[in-house]
Amino acid sequence: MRVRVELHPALKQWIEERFARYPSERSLVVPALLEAQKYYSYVSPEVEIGLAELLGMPPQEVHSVASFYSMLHQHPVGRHIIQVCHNVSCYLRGAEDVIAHLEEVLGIKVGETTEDGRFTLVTVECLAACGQAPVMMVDEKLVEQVTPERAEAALAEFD
Amino acid sequence: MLQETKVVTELAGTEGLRRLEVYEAHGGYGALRKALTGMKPQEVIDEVKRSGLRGKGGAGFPAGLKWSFVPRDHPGPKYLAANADEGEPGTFKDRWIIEENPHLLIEGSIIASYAAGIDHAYVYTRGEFFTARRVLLGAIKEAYARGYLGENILGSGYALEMTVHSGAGSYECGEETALLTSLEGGRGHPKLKPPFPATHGAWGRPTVINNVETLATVPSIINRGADWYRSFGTEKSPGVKMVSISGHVEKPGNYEIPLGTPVRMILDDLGGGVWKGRELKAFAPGGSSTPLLLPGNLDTPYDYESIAEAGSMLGSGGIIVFDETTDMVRVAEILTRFYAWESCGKCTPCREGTRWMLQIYERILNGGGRMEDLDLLLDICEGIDSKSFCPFGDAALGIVRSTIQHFRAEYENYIRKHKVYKRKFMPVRHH
Amino acid sequence: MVEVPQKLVKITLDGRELSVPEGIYLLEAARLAGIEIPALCNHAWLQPLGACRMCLVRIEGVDKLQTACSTQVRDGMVVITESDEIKRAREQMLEFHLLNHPLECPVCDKGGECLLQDLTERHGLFTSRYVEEKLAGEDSLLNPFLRISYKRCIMCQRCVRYCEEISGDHLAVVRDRGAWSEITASRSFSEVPSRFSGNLIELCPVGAITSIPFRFHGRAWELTKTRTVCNQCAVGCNVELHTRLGKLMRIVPASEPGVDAQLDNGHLCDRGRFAYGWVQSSERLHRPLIKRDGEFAPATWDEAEKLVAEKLTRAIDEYGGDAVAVLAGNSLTNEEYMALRIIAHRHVGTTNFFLGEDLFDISRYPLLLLHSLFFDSASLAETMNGDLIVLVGCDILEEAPVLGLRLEEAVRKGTTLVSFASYATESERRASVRARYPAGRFVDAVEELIVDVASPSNDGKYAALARSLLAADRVSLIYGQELLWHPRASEHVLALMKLKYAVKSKREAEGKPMSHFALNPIFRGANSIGAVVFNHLELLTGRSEEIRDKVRASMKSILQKAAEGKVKVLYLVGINPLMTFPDRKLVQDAVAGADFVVAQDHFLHETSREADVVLPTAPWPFKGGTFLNFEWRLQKLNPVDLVDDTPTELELWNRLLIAMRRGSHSTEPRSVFDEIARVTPPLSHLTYDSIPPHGSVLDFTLPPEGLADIGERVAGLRLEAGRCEPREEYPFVLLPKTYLFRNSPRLRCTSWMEPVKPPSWVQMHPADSKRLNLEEEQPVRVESPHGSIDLELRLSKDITPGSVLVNNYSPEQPVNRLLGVDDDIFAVRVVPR
Repeated sequence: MRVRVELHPALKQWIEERFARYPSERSLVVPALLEAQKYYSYVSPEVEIGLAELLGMPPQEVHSVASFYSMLHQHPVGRHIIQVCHNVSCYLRGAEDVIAHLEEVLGIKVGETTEDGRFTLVTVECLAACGQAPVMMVDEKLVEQVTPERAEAALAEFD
Repeated sequence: MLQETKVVTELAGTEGLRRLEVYEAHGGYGALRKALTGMKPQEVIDEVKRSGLRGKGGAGFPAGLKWSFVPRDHPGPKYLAANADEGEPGTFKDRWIIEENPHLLIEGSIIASYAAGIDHAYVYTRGEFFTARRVLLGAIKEAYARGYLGENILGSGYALEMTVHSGAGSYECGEETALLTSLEGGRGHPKLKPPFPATHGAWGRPTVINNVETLATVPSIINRGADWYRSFGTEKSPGVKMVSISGHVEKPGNYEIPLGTPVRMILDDLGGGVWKGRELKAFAPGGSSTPLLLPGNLDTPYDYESIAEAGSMLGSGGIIVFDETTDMVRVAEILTRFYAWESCGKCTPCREGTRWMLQIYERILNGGGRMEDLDLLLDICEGIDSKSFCPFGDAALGIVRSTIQHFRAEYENYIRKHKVYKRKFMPVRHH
Repeated sequence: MVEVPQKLVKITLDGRELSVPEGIYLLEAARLAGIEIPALCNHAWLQPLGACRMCLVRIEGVDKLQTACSTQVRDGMVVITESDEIKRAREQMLEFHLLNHPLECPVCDKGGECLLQDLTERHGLFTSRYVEEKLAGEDSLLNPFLRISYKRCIMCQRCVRYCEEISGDHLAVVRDRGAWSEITASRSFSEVPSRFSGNLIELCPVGAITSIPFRFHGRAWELTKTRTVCNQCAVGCNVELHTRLGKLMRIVPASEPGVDAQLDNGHLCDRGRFAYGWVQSSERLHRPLIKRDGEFAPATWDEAEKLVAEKLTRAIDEYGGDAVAVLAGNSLTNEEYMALRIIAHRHVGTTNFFLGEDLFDISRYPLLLLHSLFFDSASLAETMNGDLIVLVGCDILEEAPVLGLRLEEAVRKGTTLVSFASYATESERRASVRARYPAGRFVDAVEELIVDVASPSNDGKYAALARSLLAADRVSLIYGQELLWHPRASEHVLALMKLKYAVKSKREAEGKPMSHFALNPIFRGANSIGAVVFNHLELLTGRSEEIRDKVRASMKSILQKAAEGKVKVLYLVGINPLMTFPDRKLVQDAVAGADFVVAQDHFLHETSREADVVLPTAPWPFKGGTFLNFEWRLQKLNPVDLVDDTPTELELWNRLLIAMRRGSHSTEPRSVFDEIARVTPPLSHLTYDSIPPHGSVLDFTLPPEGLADIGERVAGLRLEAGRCEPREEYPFVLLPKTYLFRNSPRLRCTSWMEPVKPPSWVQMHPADSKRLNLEEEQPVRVESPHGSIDLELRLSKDITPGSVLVNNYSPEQPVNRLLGVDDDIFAVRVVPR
């Protein structure tokens, strides 16, 4: 049974504008998947099929590529992703306390999403900001030199 | 008191440096002009070769030599990939360069591309670098408008396209050939060599891959000459290096030093010394993949040869400092988890070995360690050593071996006492 | 692709100096020297990966161990493959491989044929140091035939690479990362059943991918293995039948990949591999059935033979031999065809006899047509070594799948592939030129192509195709079912001959005579070529007046006679014309018009159901004999060492002859073959026992008076294209499509083939559906002047506007209801239901 997926027009346009910059349309799959998460929140089968059709790849190939990269979510996530670095330089400067505090304040464990769907909390590897450790990202925003309190405060602007 | 030698970081702090007119006002794109209108591509290669500039991403391969491997008469497009997939824990200089002085990277990339005969340059940024991409895109747009990119640059007849590309969260994509696989639209698996990227890279075409800092150094070499660059550093490690200092220091941050500077000076004078008045326990000289060095190594000159002689590697230049209170077993566990979760999975020893080591660490930290686990860990390291498909496998061994070698007592403490590390959170793989 | 003599280089391997072909990999070089370096992820079909790290060797001057599978030999290389260091490395790699691998050999089907078992035994350690928790996962299905066990997977990625590099169906992909990587099929995305998934079973070096039909049916070492030839299509892949406890348990390839590369190179298609369940199915007939009062009742062989003999004798005595008509299917052996021919001519005395189901009417230009069929074809080797392969009206991946794979292999090595078809198919995926002819108007299109061949620079419609043809020195043109399963099949073949000679003469005129231009038809049957031979044996004995002047029966003429009541006994052997003949009504009338119908077959299918007597014979695994495949390769079948309770054809016919008191005939394939060899010059050097595995490609030279002027004769042909315009009331050209998994009785009676049954759709281009206000998935009726069928509409841009595509073998909605054997074109209309 043929499934035809129409991607969000802005996403489609974003992708098509960039075709000319690569010798192969398939090259856009990773940036497109990352961009797609702005419109779809996670990489659903629908997204995979839609991109497959647009880029001329088999959908299972899109799935294979998408599932390789840790920023691409294979399951629904909250409206905002909190990514706290748990690697060595941030650990050395108190990342654990930050993470523990966020778990407490949000009422969830690492890997989970708040019940109201507002935040998903994950830990990530080095974000290349070790000079300002501990660091975290909320969606696209980097928050540096976080303490438990500062981390909590940084969440306020995200609905 | 050691002062920074500001080459790449020269214009740091200049107001509005992201804007092309500010960059130009401070001499920016002068090197580009000199190279494109006053030098032939081969002359650029020769100058950079003479300068001894070595790749600053970790491998330390001579940049000019790499460019010379690209077959000049090859029909069809040739590519440059600027490696901005900075993921080595403890390293944060490349992001800094892009966000602070994007035009420096652009200028250096254009000169490098001109030298090697490149038609299209891609800046492969890791997925997390949203701000860096935004900044870079703005600067590239300005460069196109000014005619530094596109057709007939500065009337030289040379044309170059530049595209910003994004990853989506994979440390392995910082490896040259894995970066290319990702750029082509695939999983970040490394490729067989030979053939080498210089002749057979992205989409099967000649490709040069250079680190951001390497490219950012090129303009000053062109401006001031190879001899000037060689006036810093040592015979075999000429020039300067940005170091990213992190961990238990007073002043973590990016600093630029001549290669060969004693480590002690870097840590004390620039990094402010170990924080909180504590003692140094150990440090990783070049990122998490480099074996640890001890206080006894503080007088080692910070250059490729001396650090290698001391038993480690200069790597990416990320110096991670551990004070006396550091739980080295926990540190090893954190990094082993990093390698296990970031392993691309292509080859068996790395894929299976890193996960095995992680499981052993988790068991040790959970009070279930056995004395034979230490030899087992070393044995697993030996099983991976030099036998994995790409350098990732070897990178995972540094922390395990050096912590067991230098801090065995801490391991034994955990094992004998069935000590349990009190986790403040449970790490979970998110996929 | 031209064969170039290989340059040799000198390497030192474990102290021995060797000369090996330049550029090969060390792993292969070692094998040539008799050294077996262990490897898991390497495979003859695939590009090297270097992932398992089992094949690490020491190369002098290189600091790290290198993988032999991915290192090419260079002159002067010094290599060590055995040392303490390497031994230790192998142990370590195996330890890593076994880390997550469950110790379930006792319950794993792969046991006994498992590469990991073999390597561990040879190179590994026998204790495990792993005390942690293994990554577990539930088994899953890759597709209806394959089970995947994640626990057992060692991530050699052979399956992923096969599905990417060879079958191209991307059935298996990797998901996730690192040690958490899994092979997955993403089934939810799959629309088209995979044609080659079964090859993953042998490909998988462990028991991660296993056969569902075979699951738990036996241990490798308990199976009796019989080498024979598949009988499901024109390729004739070499297979092994594995039996145990009196049953056929599975079918596997007999050829070793990379080693026996002559024909299938170790591949099987999923139809050939899995469609065997019917042999044991309860629906297979074991006893004769006699119809009494409209109902079938089981009978003894005695009863049935007596009845049939009686009917035959009476028909012959009262009405003459021609009152008996014999129609045989396309998958019988040469010996059976020869026997039928002899029996028909000598014992029964009928000229109403036709073998095979193809090329229904060669009454015009029989010499030319037969000439092409006999002498124009190329062997697979010649095709793969040629410059150009032209696929015409042939969805090769559906019609002869393994041949399609081998052609793509040739393309990867440098041969050009072009396609000339009326609609897009997957078989064109490696074609550098895809030319379209309007459906139903092939002959016209070829005439236009011939014009473009004459003046290629005049940017005509088929200029690109013409230029490809003219640029090649060695061409293989392969044509298929769209042209052959058609009343105007003869015209199509003649048109291709015209094209061939036009290209050849153009090249000659330019001083560049071609080495060869072959025409290979892909018929539907395993032995359609054999059927052609035995219908027209006289061509090979060189008496062309006999050929020219002979009054020939065709399947059409026989059916027409039967419909007119002129056939007293209609004898059908292994054929289901109610489903497979492009005129259902004619067959119905024929079966009804014949006084007595005997059907010899394994099942009660559409046609045999209408018979008066059904005589079951032994399925092909129980038979010996020979086949001729598409490249005229003579291959021998070997029967399994089991006894079935049904007779072979030869046995049955002998018994009937005896019952009729009309002599007897040999029941041994061996002696029939010897008789064939005696009268057929190209076979005269062979005996039945001397036929080697993979058989022998027959080399025909032209018969003594062979048409030297054939080029001119063909060039001067005026082909009747017929009325090729669809009529106004029936505006669509109907394309009946031959699918690989068409639901023939054998597949219907093999339970696990059910999921891959082609759907009952009619496919149309979106522009046409828009015009007609029809929607995707809408129930529609497809009507022709002959009848109608009800299907679901599907839209596809692959179909050319003005035509519609329908499965040509759907028991529920048989397309031949819409067809007439005198039609020039299959024209239909599509209306909402």
